Amino acid sequence: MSAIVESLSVAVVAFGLICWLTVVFLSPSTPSRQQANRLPIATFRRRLVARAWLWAPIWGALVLTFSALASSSAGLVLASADHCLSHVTNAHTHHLCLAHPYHASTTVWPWVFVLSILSILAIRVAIVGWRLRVDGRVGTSLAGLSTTMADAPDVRVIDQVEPLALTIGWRRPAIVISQGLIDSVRPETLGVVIAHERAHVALRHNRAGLWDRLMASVYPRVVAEPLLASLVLAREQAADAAAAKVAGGPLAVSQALTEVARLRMPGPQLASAHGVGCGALEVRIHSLLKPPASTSRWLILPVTVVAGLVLLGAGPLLPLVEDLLTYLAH
Amino acid sequence: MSQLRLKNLALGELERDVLALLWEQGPMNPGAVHDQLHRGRKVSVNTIASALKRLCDKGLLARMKVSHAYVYRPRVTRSDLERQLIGAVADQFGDSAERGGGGGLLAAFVDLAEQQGEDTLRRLEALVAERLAATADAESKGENDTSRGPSR
Repeated sequence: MSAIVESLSVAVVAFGLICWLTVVFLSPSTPSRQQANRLPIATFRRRLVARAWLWAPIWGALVLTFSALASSSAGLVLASADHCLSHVTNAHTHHLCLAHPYHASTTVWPWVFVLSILSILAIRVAIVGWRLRVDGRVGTSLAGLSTTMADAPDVRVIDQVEPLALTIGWRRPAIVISQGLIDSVRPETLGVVIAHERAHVALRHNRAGLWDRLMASVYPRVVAEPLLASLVLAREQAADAAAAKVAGGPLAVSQALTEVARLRMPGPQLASAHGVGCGALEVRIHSLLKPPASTSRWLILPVTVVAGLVLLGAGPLLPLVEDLLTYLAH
Repeated sequence: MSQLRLKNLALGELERDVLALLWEQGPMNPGAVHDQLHRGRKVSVNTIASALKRLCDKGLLARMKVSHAYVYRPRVTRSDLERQLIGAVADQFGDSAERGGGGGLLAAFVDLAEQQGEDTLRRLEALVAERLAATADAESKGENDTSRGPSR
């Protein structure tokens, strides 16, 4: 039993490491690929693609391990004489097989490998988790100092001139709006803003964001930022779409977005004349006014990727991980 | 007012209530604060004194000894503290990957960190105005058709 646990632990961590390296070198992190994040694609697709990249070391490791085990154990189901080629070619190879697990190693290196990688990840996640805890308490402080809006008890108002609308916190999210925003926008716009923030609360966006953020802590910043930005954009688009259903339609939401963005513009002397900003705002408004055509053709790529991973796990990566197991165990 | 450290901006519920009371009623000693706050919650004078001391250490209160007791007064106004908290919240957006920002614990209607481009915003406003005009036209046409009644 201990041999199975040992070999599976090494395999999952090794496959996870391979997936992590794949994300670091192939995910959309270069500037041109970041621009691709701004393309008017469906919210669901944007979210799925970014989250698939972000969580690849977890789900990728599980898929690869499952396919490796399935291939080496297939002989059990098919009742072949000996399902593990390694038995024939090299009896001393430590292979991933539930039926014939190799003997538990006499060295500590398999567990040193597993625990050192897991420790590094745990430390990175703990550091970010601690920072998020402080950030969360700062947000809660802001919400706690605010007053309740007269005709919307779930909305908190802060006495600030700067136009702001936020949803703060993940356990009990609070909607916080500044008095400056209330005073500066039309009642219809305020209705859209509140509907948008309520959508964030209803769809538990901050909770999802927290998990994504913790996962992103295992990557270098240059890799994590575009993925997180893409997920933030997807959440905003989802909240825009939900607000459009209850607060006057996509055109009203687009109008509210430009109205609030205009309020947040710096003075004329500070404004960029060349329009380098507004990337996310532009995508959100275009998505509202011209929703991307709904098609399922894009699913071909992720399905191909998963199928490819299954084949990789059962194919070239399996001997690689088995060699690693053998190397660590002797 | 000097910039407070981020961790000093993270206030507990009792600390917020104490601050709110001092903003509202001016300088008080721990006993007077306890008299005001103990009805709503079960807290001892020592707990209140600890909260006042913590707020003092964080730079949010100042204290002076009057007779045998300390009297505490706010060093920041509510508005100043809110402004610093908003600054800290905005930093979460601006420094998203390292600090957990926009993808972490909050969501803003319009991204706090995004630098708006004047040309792009004008273009978007024009697009929205164009759509609004087209919708108004279509609606007025519809109304005219209805008022004329069905054609024979």
